Amino acid sequence: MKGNSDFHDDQIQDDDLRARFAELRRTEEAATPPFIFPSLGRAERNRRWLTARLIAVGVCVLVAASVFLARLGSPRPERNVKTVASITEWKSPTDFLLKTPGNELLRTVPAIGVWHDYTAVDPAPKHPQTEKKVLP
Amino acid sequence: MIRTDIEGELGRLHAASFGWALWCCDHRREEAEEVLQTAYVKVMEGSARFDANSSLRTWFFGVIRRTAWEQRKRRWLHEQLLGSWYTSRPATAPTPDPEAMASGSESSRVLLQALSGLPRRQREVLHLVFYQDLTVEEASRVLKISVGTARTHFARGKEQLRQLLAVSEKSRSGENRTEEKHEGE
Repeated sequence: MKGNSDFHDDQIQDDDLRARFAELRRTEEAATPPFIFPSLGRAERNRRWLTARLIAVGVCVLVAASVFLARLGSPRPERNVKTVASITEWKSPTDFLLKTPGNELLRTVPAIGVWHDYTAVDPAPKHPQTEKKVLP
Repeated sequence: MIRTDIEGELGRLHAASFGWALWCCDHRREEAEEVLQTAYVKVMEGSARFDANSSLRTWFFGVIRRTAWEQRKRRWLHEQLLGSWYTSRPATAPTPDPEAMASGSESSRVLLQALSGLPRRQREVLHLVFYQDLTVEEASRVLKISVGTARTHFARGKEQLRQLLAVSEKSRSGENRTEEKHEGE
């Protein structure tokens, strides 16, 4: 019994909504623009325009691809740029300024008894000594 | 179906189709006109073909819905790509066109206001059933959803719409009472 009354209430509320929508439909239908079905000519023009655009895009893609491939295939022109030596070979143009006199002494470990840039002169012959005389 | 038959049928459906296009475009009149015309062009060109699996009305409403969706997507893309331009422009919120609302009766205005508070899917199902007099099954075919989902949207939408209408009725009757009081004084 209760379910029956619920259904009845729901139906009444549906009818209310339906009536509201019907009123809205009447209002909106009064402002409907006239029916203009597109002519074949317009549809044909649209299709032609679309085809033309597709062709234009295709041509652009082809040109871009051919330019890219041509550049890829041909050897690259030598660039007029000085070749740069590797960092291990490179030397500064002012490197010589760092060579101070006696620099080599700082770079080598001295050995005992060896004198760089020094040649020992032979000792002079001993002068004959007069023997000491023991005084009486 | 040959072209003249379709043209005649679509001519008979034109008012209903425009009503549906209006709803798909959130009551933006110019957009709805453009969407409807684009849908006609699609039929004319043959990019939308009627295969007689459903009624012509159900099929054409589906075409309109899809066209409106494409237009919305295009507009969204434009807004994303030209974001900086659009930030200075007034936002296009999915609210009913105030001009359209003002032209209708008080009851229609209240209904539109209440409907703008519902999710899109619920609004669409309610429109198709109450406004276009389609069955829930036909509405589900237009919206490309299952019948069960359409029924759920329909039931929830109805419930929510009734509540919104009741709230607006209450506020209106309250306003009327205060006006009467002021007039009495």
